[in-house]
This record gives sequence, structure tokens and C-alpha cells, in this order.
Amino acid sequence: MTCRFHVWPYYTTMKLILLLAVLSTCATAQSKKNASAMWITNGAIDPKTKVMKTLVKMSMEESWHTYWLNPGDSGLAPSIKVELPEGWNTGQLQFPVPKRFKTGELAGFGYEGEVYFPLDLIAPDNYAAPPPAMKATFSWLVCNNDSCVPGKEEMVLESGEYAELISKEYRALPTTLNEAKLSISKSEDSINLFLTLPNSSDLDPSKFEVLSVTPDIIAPTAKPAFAKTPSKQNEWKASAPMNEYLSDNPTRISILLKYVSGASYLVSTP
Amino acid sequence: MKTLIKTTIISALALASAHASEVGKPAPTFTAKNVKGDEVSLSKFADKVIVLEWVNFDCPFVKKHYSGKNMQTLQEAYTAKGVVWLIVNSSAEGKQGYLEASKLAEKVAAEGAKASDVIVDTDGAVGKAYDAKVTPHMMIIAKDGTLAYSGAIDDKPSTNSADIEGAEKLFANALDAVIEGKQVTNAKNKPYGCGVKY
Repeated sequence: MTCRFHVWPYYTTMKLILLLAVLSTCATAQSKKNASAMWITNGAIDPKTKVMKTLVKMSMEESWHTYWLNPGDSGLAPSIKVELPEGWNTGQLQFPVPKRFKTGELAGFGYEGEVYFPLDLIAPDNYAAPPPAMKATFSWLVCNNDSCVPGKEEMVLESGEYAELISKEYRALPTTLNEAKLSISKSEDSINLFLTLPNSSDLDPSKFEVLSVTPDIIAPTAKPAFAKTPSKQNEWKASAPMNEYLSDNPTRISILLKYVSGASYLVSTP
Repeated sequence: MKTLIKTTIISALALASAHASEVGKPAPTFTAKNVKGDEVSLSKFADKVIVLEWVNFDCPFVKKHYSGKNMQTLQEAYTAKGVVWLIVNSSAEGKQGYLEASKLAEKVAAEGAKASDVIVDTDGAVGKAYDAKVTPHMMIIAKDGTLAYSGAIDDKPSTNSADIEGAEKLFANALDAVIEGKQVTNAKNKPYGCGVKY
């Protein structure tokens, strides 16, 4: 927001009041953050795994977005740095299922509005007491059609009645399909994906929306769809234009499969 | 004003007739205004190695390389070797990074940039002809006029200037190869940064 003022030498009282009101509005708009974050837990530690589940809640103002692990044509995924107490460990920041968007001509994957990033904290073996005070710095890049702005929040882990929310957000994470087999090949300018599901699977791969977790293999605008390979039982094939920056033959890829039911799955090549 | 509009139209038409930008192929020619209002034509730099650097001084990825003095150091080092270094600002009016010519000149001076010239590309004609995607997007034109490199400044896509040291210097390595007449490895790679605000 740009604020320009023309000041005349003489004010009436009303003009002065109006000017002050506009100045106040402008100051608010210019200092307003376009995103914020908080870190929450219910404090429960699994007695077997010693995992304490936490969520980083990121809230973005309308029109702004942040990025998935594969950001697409441009952008950067958020990251977290936790100040761990003695004996504690942390898992990887986990990314929920993203949506597609376009920023100008650039295709991207990420999040708008509110998004929760799950993060496991692992307590020491003998730890039984309530979690100690913990701090973390969460950093992000948010963009809209006009701007890209980095941001960060120094967060303190807040313990509260979040069990239901934590459970819901963890359940919404993609499930790894360990029993599925995935392979990849490149032919000219296309990437071919071959997916084999076990006989017991009732999933229909033709109903998957396919997103590549691994960046720069498939063109971000591509929407590959699986179709049954006629000659092979339970094998499905999807093709997509290769990413313009792919130079070698790819041998490894992870893909996210969004199913019609709302469930989502992760499959990776060996 | 009429002259300016005419120049812009001629420039845009010339670019429109050029082939698409592609590494290994002749670089699109252009004539555009610099921050002083003078015309800059690529043909003026025949037989020179040319660098095109897309900039948006409000973009955190650009700030990373200017606050860390990486970009200025590269500009100084390579212009001293006879390289023509053109900063291009393709931000449209009202978008992030847009600065009118005089303000852009002031900003470039304040940042201590050591480029040969600064192109005002508010209509995005030069950026689109070269398919400039992000800021900073680095491109190199070899002495024979072919586009020799299009990609990132380095291999650490972050906004943290502390990451500059230790990063693989993709652009500088490519520029060294072009100057020495050697084959550029990784001549096309994914540039990181903010999308160009056309």
C-alpha cells in the first residue's frame, strides 16, 4: 500500500481529524503482517515411541500463499529450527496435501489461508514429566501476484486442549503406500510413471490426482493420470511432460496421490 | 512522451518478431531504455560477453545477494574483465520492485552495483523475450551472440546471505567458461527467486 499526502498550510479542524484518521489507517496497513505462526501441542507423550505430537499453525492473509516441499516454478517451502532441550530430538516438519495455484505465469503448489504443519518431538527415554519449555523459529516465504515477502516467527510451544485438532491434522497427512511399487522412465520429453498395486488393493488409480513431491522432474502444470496397462495385471501407467530443467534420466521420484475420497497417499520409487 | 511510446512500440515489435529464447541459440535482440532514458541496443555489444541480471530490489532472494555484496562483487570482477553486465528490471508499475527510472538509478547506486547499465523494462518486453522467470535470473550471452547460460546464481535456493559461502557458483562457473571459450556445463538450470512481477 502506498500512501501519499498533500499537506496544505491551513487546516480546518475536520480536515485535520480526517488526515489523522487516514494516517492511522495507513500506518496500520503498512505494519500489518501478511502471515503469522504459532506452535501448539496437547503435551501428551506416547509411552512407547516417546513422540510428542505438535502442530505449527500458519495463517496467511487473503491472496497470499506459501509453498509445499515441491514449490513448483518458484518459491520456497517453510522451515523450522527448534531449540531442543537436552536429550530431545525432532522429526522432519511434515507437509499436508497442497493445492495448485498460479502466480502470474508461474505454476506452484502450496497453501493459502490456514495450514497446519505437524512436527514430532521425541522425548528422552526416561522422560515422564510434562514437556519442558521449548522455542523454535519458523521461517517462510509468502507470495501473491504482486510481491514475495519472507517472514519468520519466534515461537514458544504452547500446551493446551489441542488433542482433537492434532489428531485430525495428523490423520489428514498422506499415508505411505508401502505395498505399492513405483518406477519411472523418460522417453523424449515425457516422464512415464508405472504403478503396481497389490491384488488386495481396492484403490482405483485412474481416480488419483498425481503431484510430484520431488521437484523439477514433471512440469508443474502437468496433470498426469494413471490408466491401466493392458498387458500387465495391476500395473498402471501415467505420462506427463518432463520439467524443462530436467537434464538427466530420473531414477527416483516420490509422488503424492490425491484420491477422490479425500484420502491421500505417498508412493516412492525404491 | 510520443517519442517514448513510439520507442516502446518499436522495441516491442522487434522483440515480438524475434525467436523464442533458448540456450544454445542466438539470443533475442532488443533495444530498450536505460535509467538515463538512453536507448540500449544489444547489437552495440557485438563481440562482447554479456550478462543479463533480472532484479527486483524488494525480492528477498535479490536482497540476499545484494546485502551479502555477492552480486556487486561479481559485477565488479567481471566488468573488469570486459564483460558487459546489464541489470534488467521487468517489474510492472504497481508491482513489487517497480521503480521509475530515476528512482531505480538511485537504488542501484545506493546498493553499490557495478553493472555496465540498467535497463528499465516496465512493459516486460525484454523479460518475456528471454523468458525471465524469477529475480535474480541470470543469463549469459556469448561473444557470438548465442545464449550460453540461463539459470540460477548458485545452488542454494534460500533467502539467507549466510548460504552464499559454500554454495556451488553455477553462474560464475558458467561465466568463466564462456569467457574462456569453453563448453558450459549445466547451461540451463532452474533459477530460484521471486517470480518476475510482469
